Amino acid sequence: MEQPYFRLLHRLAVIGVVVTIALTIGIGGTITSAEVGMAYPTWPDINGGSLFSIFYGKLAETFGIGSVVEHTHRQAASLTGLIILVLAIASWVTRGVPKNLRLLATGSLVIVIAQGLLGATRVLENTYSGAILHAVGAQFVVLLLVVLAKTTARDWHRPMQHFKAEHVDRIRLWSVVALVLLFLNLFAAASLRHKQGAFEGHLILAITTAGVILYLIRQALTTFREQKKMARLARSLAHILGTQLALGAAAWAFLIGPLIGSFPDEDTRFLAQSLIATGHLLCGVLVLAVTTALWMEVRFRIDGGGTE
Amino acid sequence: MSLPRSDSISLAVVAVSTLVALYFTLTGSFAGASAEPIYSFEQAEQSELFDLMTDEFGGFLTPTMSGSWAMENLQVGRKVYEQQCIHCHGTDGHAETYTANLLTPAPRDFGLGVVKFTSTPVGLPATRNDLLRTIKEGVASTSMSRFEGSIKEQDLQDVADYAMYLLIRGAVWTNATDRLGAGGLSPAQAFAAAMEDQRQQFDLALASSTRPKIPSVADSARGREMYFDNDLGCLVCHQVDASGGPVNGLDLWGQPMVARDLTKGELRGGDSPADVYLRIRNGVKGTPMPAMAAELTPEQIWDLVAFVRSVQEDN
Ligand code: HEC
Ligand code: HEC
Repeated sequence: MEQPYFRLLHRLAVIGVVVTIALTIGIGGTITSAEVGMAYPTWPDINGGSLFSIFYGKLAETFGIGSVVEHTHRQAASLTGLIILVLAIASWVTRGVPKNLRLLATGSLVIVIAQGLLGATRVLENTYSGAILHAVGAQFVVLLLVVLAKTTARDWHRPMQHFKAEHVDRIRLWSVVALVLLFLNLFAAASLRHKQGAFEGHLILAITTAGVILYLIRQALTTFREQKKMARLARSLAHILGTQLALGAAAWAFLIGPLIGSFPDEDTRFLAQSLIATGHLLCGVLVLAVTTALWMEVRFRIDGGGTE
Repeated sequence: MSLPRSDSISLAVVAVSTLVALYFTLTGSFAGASAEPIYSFEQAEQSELFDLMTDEFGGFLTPTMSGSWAMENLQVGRKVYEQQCIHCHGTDGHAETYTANLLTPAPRDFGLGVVKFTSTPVGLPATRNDLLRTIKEGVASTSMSRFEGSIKEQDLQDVADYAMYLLIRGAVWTNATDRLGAGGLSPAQAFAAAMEDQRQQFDLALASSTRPKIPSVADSARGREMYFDNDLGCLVCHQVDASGGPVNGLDLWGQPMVARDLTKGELRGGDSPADVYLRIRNGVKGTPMPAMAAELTPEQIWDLVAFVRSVQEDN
């Protein structure tokens, strides 16, 4: 069977995932870690410049370093938006792209624009709920980009693999539960970071989510080990999840727990705390991205026709 | 698809723990934000003074005020402050926070008892309404944002009370430590004198605060002449084209100073004619922007206001 492979779309989606996680969310997370979200309270203009101005020196001088972080985040976010815009346009002009894929790409564009406007509202209105929603929205953009990257991948159209219906149903259910939990946990984490939610909320959800993901990993590596892609994703997920739990423990210990007083001076403390918090956040995005990929496999690349 | 029994049970467990977690997230608040600051004083006299302050003003988390300073909702104000202001202005109002380190201009340190933009004559502190105006409208093109519309009216009122508490507390502390430093007074004497002095200052401020009425005529051409009058000195600092520039020295809070660019819209102390009038009449406290109340008549100040607003509108 001849399988369509949309190289350009795929590459754009992959670049989109990388840029969004490494730049937009990385810098965006730094903003919250360093608490410089309101370094300048205007949007879209920046006193003496626009979104596209490269004037970091001047900005640092008149508004402080915090504003440079904020400004580069806005620029990185525009890059994410641009990539998705090109992707959406390309999906319509490339011949033979399935309608669903086009709609997905266009939907992602709408979402990313909404996310940008949410960022603006967050700044202009300066509300914590806006900030928290904006944090959750960012991860939803990652989810969409991962889905786009998977469905445009060369190996997406390989033949279905068959397993026992009962097993397939179960892993499908739990992979959806994992995604829902990840988003709820994200909400709890963002609330915590914006000093709105209690630590217990994030802790309980983190443990619950980790439990469900561990179950998924075990299933993928035992019952579904013949599905090579799933097994590979599960192994990466195991590593990332382990790192994430360790970072979470470090974040707790150094930011609010017993080691909070263990820094030699304020500058070191500021730097170390920001790095740990941002690292924990980024690792969390990776957990979400890989879990999304795993869910895609579970949902679309296996079915219950087999007898085992 | 039918669920096997074991999955239903696990699902129920997940659902319950999720609900519990969300309950914590939605109702709880972050513990770290609200810690009473801990000071270590080298001199026993300062600790003694601090204890007297605590007797009078309570802790920063448990604020109290008495006499003409009594305010009802200080506790609520503190809560709003913790949510909206603490990361910039600090738990004790001294603006020693991570965020503050990264911002220019730095968030106001209330500990000296002075703020820049007031409706009161030079030398007198701000009124609560001055703070309320700043909180509502923000300080344009700085990270002090406009809170009107983003938090409830009652919260605005309460947080203004709390900001006033921090300001008064700062003023008394600064005044008392100055007296202690000058020598000859016991902590109790210094504290009593500072309290009396500051009560007077704040009462006087309240009595002399004005919200000017805008006159029907003001002549920007006459204002322009004054602007270029070397004796008044506007153009020395704000430059011939009114675009401002650095001024030597540091302000009261140790920050480098820039005479405002008057041609860009959005003046920091507010854009309305009345605001500009107050800036020129009272100066900008803690900075070299001079008060003109002694040099100029109200009519002349209004002419200057008209001029300042005309250069703004030109652009
Ligand atoms: C993102 C940081 C930030 C937050 C949050 C913030 N402020 Fe400010 N605030 C500033 C900065 C910066 C200034 C100094 C502006 C200047 O020097 O012109 C300032 C100045 C002030 C002033 C003094 C203005 C003057 O006349 O000197 C008051 C009063 C004030 N803030 C109150 C508040 C209150 C109350 C809140 C919470 C509702 C708050 N601020 C939240 C950054 C912040
Ligand atoms: C010694 C220098 C100096 C002189 C003289 C001076 N200014 Fe200023 N002016 C400043 C500085 C510095 C600021 C900014 C203060 C701040 O907010 O940090 C300022 C601020 C202002 C503002 C407030 C702008 C705002 O953002 O709210 C106005 C209006 C103003 N000046 C007008 C005048 C006029 C009119 C004169 C002449 C009568 C004058 N200035 C004379 C230094 C000066």
